[in-house]
Amino acid sequence: MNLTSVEESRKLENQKNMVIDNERMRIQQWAVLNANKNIFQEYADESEETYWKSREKEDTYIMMYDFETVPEFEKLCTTFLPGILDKEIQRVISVAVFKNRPQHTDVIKHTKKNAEGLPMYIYAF
Amino acid sequence: MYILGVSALYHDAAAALIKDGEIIAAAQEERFTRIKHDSSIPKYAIAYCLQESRINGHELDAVVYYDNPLLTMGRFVQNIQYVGNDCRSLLDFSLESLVSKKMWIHQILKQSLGQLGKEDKLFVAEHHISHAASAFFPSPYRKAAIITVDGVGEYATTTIGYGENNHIKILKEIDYPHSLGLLYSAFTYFCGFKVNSGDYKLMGLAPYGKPIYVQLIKEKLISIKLDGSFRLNIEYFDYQYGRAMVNEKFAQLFGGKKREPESIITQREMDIAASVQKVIEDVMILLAQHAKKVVSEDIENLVIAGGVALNCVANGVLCRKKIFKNIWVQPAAGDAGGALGAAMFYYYQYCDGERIVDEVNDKQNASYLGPEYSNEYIEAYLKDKGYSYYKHDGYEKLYQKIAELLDQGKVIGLFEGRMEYGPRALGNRSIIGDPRSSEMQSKLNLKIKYRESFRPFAPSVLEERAKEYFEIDYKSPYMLFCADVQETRRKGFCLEKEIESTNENLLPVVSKARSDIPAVTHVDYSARIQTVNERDNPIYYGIIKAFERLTGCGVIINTSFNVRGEPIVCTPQDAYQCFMRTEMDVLVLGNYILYKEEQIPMEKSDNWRNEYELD
Repeated sequence: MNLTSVEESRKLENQKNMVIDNERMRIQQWAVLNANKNIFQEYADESEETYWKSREKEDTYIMMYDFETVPEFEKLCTTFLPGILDKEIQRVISVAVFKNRPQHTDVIKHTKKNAEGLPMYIYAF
Repeated sequence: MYILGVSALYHDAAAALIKDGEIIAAAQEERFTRIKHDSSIPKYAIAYCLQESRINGHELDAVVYYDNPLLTMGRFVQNIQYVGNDCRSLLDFSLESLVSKKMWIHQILKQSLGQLGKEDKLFVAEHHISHAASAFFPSPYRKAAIITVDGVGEYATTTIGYGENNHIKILKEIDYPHSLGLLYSAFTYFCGFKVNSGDYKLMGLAPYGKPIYVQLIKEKLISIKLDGSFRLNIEYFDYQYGRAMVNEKFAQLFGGKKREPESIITQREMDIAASVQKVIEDVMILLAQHAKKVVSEDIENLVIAGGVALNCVANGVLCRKKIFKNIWVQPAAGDAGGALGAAMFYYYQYCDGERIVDEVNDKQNASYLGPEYSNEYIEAYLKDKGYSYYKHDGYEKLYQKIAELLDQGKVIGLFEGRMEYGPRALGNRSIIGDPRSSEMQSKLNLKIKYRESFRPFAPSVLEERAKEYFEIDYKSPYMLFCADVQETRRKGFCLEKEIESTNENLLPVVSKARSDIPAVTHVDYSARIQTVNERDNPIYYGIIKAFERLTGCGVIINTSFNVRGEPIVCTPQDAYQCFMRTEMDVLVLGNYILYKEEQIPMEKSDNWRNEYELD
């Protein structure tokens, strides 16, 4: 790798981080306005006989996963995440996703450093 | 019809290739990259699978990923809402990976494969459907109840389902953040072990302790209903904030700070390990009882997958409870097995593929699904490197020689046939030894595996003699069930006194003989058993049989061929390197035997240990 390409690579990386920073900030702002402590089922509830949730729908057992454009991506979100993403957060995430579209030159490596003791399968999306 | 299944980007990336429902090849990426639990896109594992079947990416009929990124994103957004203003750590930790990798899995896999099969499209299966499929479709049964339990998938952490012929259905589920896997991981973390790879250590530590915290855990941390459903009191946990597994409030429950990694293990950690193990067992029993109730009281078979299914002590308890007549656990029960499940779900359920079973034999090919190396390859390698070796042409002579070496107390690295799929070494990439020696457990732990002295070793026993040694009346070919050593073989041993007299130092405790096969008898007389038959692995069976003929003992020690923090060896080169870096005495590569004293020593340095992050 020559000097120019190293510099270009650094420049691209910085741009990418800036993109993430921007979206991160907007998501955080959204989170503050839309905070909801009741979004998950609460702890012990003596009035409930069971904590099981019945599973009826099978439409997401397996599905084709493909999108190329923002409208295609947003259509997927609307179809499979109804009521979970409002328009604002969907737009922020769409922008972040498409600004981070993988390039053929990207290194396909998942090297994010794990936070202390956290299992990768929770947050390493 | 060729289907490729892929798991990646969480932990334990893997690829699995099936043809018309039969497994052709499956392997974890860590074995090729030599990075333990490697979560990268499994390009080496994929390349191996394609090479094994001699096809290219464009000849695949479908590529299936084992998780649904859209649904995972839904959970992520809900988690952000839950933590509100405190979401910074969560975003720092996960946003980049979410938007640049996970959501683009179709593009990234396409880059790796060239083309996503004939239609150039990626299919995604739900995480717990992949687990459920990996448990049911390779099992021997036409009908079975299905339980999946892990940390978390998209939303689900625990499911009960039902499988019949080529169709599975999830009936009930428990969703994030309520998770048995995360509860166990929280304790793993608190006891100073690494989450995921250290979960096994917590299970191994449990028999040293007393379950004195069970009530506390059930009162404060987990609310359990009689039908096995549960919820966690997330006030005591921090994983939902992306910070750490548990918080200060959790620590206060157990008398203060978490144990620092590599520091001395105290009675507190032993008691915590025993307690959480008991809680897991209690919940698993209730889950199995409820699965039987909701599926059918007549159903005889249960199949299990998900990371918690690797808890072989709990599996053993389930077997002894006889809730189901038969239990089959996917050997790659963690995320690696999701690759296989995703591929099988596509073939059997999505494509309505025919499924033929005989109710006895599974379709897992004994989990020998990875790369193998011919004797010609091995000899060429040994000659090229100039290593000293002996060739044994006849198998019987080879078995006899290995048996003699074991009887002399030698520790042997055994490298034969196809590599195992899943976390356990089952005789093809194993370190073996004589279980009759009471020093062998400490020797193996400290001089060969370089791991904690308290950790037990597993026995491989001739299937037809398993009952003579252990209280077991079923097969355990994948080392996924624990059972006790037969009472007649036990020796007087009082664990409490031993621990008291050694001031919590576990090394002398471990060295005390507890049975006539002490090296594979844990301090509570339990053992994590592998039953071996000739059909599944004629070479490994032949070795144990020769040892039995020589000594009368039909059991040997089997531990994975690696050192602490290192993935199990894949190639003869990996095996030779591990052999030379440790105090292993002998290496068997195919039909070739190498003796340590005849090798040119490697440079004396322990720097190589830095290559592997401690688990």
